[in-house]
Amino acid sequence: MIENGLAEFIAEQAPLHASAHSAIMEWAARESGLRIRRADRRLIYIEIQGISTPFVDMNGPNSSLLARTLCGHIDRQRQIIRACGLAVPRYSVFRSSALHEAISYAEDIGWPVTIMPASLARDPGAATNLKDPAQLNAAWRAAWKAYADRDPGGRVMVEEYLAGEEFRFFVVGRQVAAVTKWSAGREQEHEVIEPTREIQKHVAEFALAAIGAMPGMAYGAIDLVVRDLSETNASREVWFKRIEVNVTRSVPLLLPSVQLSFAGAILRYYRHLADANRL
Amino acid sequence: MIPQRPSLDVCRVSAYESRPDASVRGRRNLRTLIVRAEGVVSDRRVAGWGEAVLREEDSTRQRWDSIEVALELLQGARIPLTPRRALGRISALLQSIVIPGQRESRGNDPRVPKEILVAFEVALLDLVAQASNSPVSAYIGGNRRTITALAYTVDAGARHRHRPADDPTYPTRRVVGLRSWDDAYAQVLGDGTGEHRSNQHSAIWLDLHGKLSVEDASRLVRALNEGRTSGEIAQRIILERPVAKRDLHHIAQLRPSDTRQAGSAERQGITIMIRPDRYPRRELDQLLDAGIGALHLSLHHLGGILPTLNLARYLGRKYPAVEVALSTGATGSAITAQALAALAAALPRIDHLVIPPAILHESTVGSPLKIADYQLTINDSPGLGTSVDLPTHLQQVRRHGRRPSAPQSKGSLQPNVFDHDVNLTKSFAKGDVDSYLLEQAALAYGLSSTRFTRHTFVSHHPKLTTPIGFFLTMSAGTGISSHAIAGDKEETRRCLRDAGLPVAEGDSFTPNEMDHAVRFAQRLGYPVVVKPQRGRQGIGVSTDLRTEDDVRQAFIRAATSAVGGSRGVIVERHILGADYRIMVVGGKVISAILRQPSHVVGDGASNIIDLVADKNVRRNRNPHLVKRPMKIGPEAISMLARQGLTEYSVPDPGQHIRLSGAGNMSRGGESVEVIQETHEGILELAVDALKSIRGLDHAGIDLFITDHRLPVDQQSVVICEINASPQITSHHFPHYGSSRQVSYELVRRSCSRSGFHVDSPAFNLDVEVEIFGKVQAVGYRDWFARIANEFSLSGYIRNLSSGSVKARVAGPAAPVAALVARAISGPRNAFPEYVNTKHISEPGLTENFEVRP
Repeated sequence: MIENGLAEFIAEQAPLHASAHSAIMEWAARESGLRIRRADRRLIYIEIQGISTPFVDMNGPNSSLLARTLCGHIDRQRQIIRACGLAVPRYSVFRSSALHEAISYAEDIGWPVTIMPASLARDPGAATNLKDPAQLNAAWRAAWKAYADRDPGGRVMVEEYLAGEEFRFFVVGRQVAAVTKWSAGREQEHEVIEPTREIQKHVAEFALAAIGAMPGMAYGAIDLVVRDLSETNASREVWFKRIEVNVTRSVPLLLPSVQLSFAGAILRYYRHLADANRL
Repeated sequence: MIPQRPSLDVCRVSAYESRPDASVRGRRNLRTLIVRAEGVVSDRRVAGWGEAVLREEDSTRQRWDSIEVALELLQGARIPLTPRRALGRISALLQSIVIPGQRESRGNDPRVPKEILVAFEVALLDLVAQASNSPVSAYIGGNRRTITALAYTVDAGARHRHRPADDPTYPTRRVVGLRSWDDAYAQVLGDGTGEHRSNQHSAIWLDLHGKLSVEDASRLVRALNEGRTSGEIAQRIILERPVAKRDLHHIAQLRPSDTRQAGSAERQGITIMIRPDRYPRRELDQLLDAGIGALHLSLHHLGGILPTLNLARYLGRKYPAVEVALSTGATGSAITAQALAALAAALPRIDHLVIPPAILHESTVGSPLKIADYQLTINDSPGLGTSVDLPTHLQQVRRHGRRPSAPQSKGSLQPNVFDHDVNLTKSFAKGDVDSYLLEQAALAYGLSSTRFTRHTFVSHHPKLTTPIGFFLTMSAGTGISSHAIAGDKEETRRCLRDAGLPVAEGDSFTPNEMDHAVRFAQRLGYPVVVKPQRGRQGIGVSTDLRTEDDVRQAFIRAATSAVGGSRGVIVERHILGADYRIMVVGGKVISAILRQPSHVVGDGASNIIDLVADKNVRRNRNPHLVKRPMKIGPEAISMLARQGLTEYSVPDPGQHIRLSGAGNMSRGGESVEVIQETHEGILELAVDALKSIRGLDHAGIDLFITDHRLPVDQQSVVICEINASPQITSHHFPHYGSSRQVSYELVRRSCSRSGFHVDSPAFNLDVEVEIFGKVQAVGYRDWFARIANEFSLSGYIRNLSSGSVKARVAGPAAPVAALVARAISGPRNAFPEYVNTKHISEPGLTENFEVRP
């Protein structure tokens, strides 16, 4: 019922009075009995333990602009994650004129490969499981078309294709707030899973370590590929795919329960900070 | 009583060396010298303009010394206005200009660039001609009103083809940049694209720059001759300097079809041309006697209008059949072009007048030549008929000299000089210097770094719990929501007010609520400030508004401002006081800057333009200000008008003239570091202001304070802005006062937040730098090594088989970090994706920096 109420609230508020994700935060705050003041569509103040705490969409004071900037480019976030010793698929980025170099790189790392615009949201222009140069060629054009005029200097990333189960971890502070999973290439078909039972501990720790590797990132969504969940050796079987500080992109509106879990976890995180006099 | 002959007194001479005008495209290694001479004749003031384009290497101290000598010599000179006497006097004055310590006159001294003399000569001729109400052309004896013998130069070796509109079909097409005889021949036949078919021209003038051997030159002449015989080539051909000077005695071999007909203007065949400034008079005579058929007179190489005119008159008398071509000999703006046109009008004959490409376009320097239907109309207004928009040009001024010079002011505070840092940062864009300073601090504290863009890097260290990083000057301690609040002035004021801190009374209005805003201003009481709700760098801000009309105009400016006006406009009470920027990092004040609005102080001798030029010269010695020159734009003109002045007014000694209402450095403001003398209460107020916005670990707090030395309760204090991404360069390089190493504090603070307490920074660095991306086969290593050697660093750079480039760099922290920060840019064809830098300590470095395979 709560979820139905949220859907109605979002429909009422967005997009004129509030962004959808700001509305989720507002709803979660109201449900928790917290006072709020809305400054504009995206900026609200939630009074947590008597402290007026600003949020832009779902991002509070501890989500840094630096982290958002770094996460805006998949190649950069991977560089940072890899520097912290976490497993990252082999990848390289290319300019629009470098199709032949991209094909040559794909042959070096081995087919199949995945390509995607390096500095866009996850869906537009991405293509996975490309098995030969012809498929890459077609996907290449789609990837650049996705950029359109938005980032003339953008790059397209070519990476090795990793088959396996894909997970999205919603991490807040040092806690996993929610986990969804989907089969390779079927990202729209999320399934909420129980974090503690169905996920090996080392996979969750990998997600927590990835959040910890990004400067100024209190919470976010981390995509991982797990080749074999029963495998206990994490270092070989868990791979980082991407991380997003702007969690609004990662909370599919199809899953209101995840949204509320995540928003609730964010509020609990800041309440905890306020209690510890660290807000 | 003998009537006194009219004369002119030169009362003021100024020289401005600057980057070239925008119209001088693609010539970044050039400097423009603008000369302005003012004179008084019969109580009437007139001003003349001259110009030179100097090569970068000409802009040395010694060259500038000769300019100073010229200024000294010309100021106070009296010049008779009778043309013959005036020209004689100007020639004599110019001949007496010598570099200090040198005995030789200008003609014998190779270290006095003739271009400099041309600039002074043209300025004086413009001056005396204006004083005589005569065009320069008429003043020097010219009687042509129009010229149709126009020539246009194209560069065959240029990387980018000229657009058709840039290549008018003048009678003569001059081609430079030719590399071989067949290259030259192809130009005559036409390039085949249909855009520049050579047969549109009646003459083709090939400047071969002495590059051909005698054999190749003969081959070219034979081929051209055959083409003419077969009818394939219809145009006349002029070959300028086909062979080197030493081979010119073979000239007879090169003119098989030169069918000169003495006394006839109609010419056929192939003509050999030389430049007379390269030969002594006797040798020139011999060459002309041997059959050279054309001379290329170059204004700058011959040393000006008068020497060129004298030579042309001599040649006209002795060799009337020899063709005469005229060019500036240097890239120039409209001043040079107008001087060239005036000279062309006075030459005994003119067969080819080379129109410089730049002057076909609108320019901030002077007005372009009048060319219509391939006919040049000679200026008929007094003087050259052109001038310089000096207030606009001032933004580019690098050096400035004038006579009478500014009186030495005693006891005044001298600005800081950071020449070394200017050199290190000269290739950085404005925002890049902040990022370089932060990376320097990170490396000095022993952290490694990964740079992704010119503004973004991340640093690692084993003792850090989380990597640190900076985007511009924002760290992991700059929250997204905090940044959003700080970017909105109305929201910031609300936060400050809620925290009980002093703010200016005001309100915000949507862009279509101007009438409400005006009424609010009236209720508030004048003066008021109007600014965009989300502006920055003072863009769209108007201060000290005292009438309804002022408020309306300011509202429109703010609402239509390029930055932030569309989100709303703020009207608030204008608080009298000085503008301060206090830098707070983690609850501690690191630096306090008094930002003085753009202003000049009179010396009783200099006009406002000269005073601004002086300040811009000093700003060139500050890395933060070098790209933020003072300007005399609409705001300054308006401020001056309010004070009853113009840009040419000469303020009294000590008179303070304000040119801007805001203290932003980008609007000509000056920074004074004052933390030591700032009252503790004010510093505490700044810390409280930072705390009023959650999730902001450091920021620049802007305040208006009457006097920073007094307690808060004894004066008017308001906090007007919080900048979440404050520039830090002005704290490192204040115009006056002590430098504050804010970047080191920011890195120290970030490390501390990540559990690592750094030691003292290293002064010298030895690092390994790996650059990823497209960095091989693009000249990257040579580019990197050139900068490393320029910075006197040691090390080496080499290609790796993986496709990246790895360098080892050692030296003082500042230049090493500057090189590392620049590595992400690379040379023209490189595309670096990221740069990893880590510390290394291994032997094996040589003194120099070298490129290894």
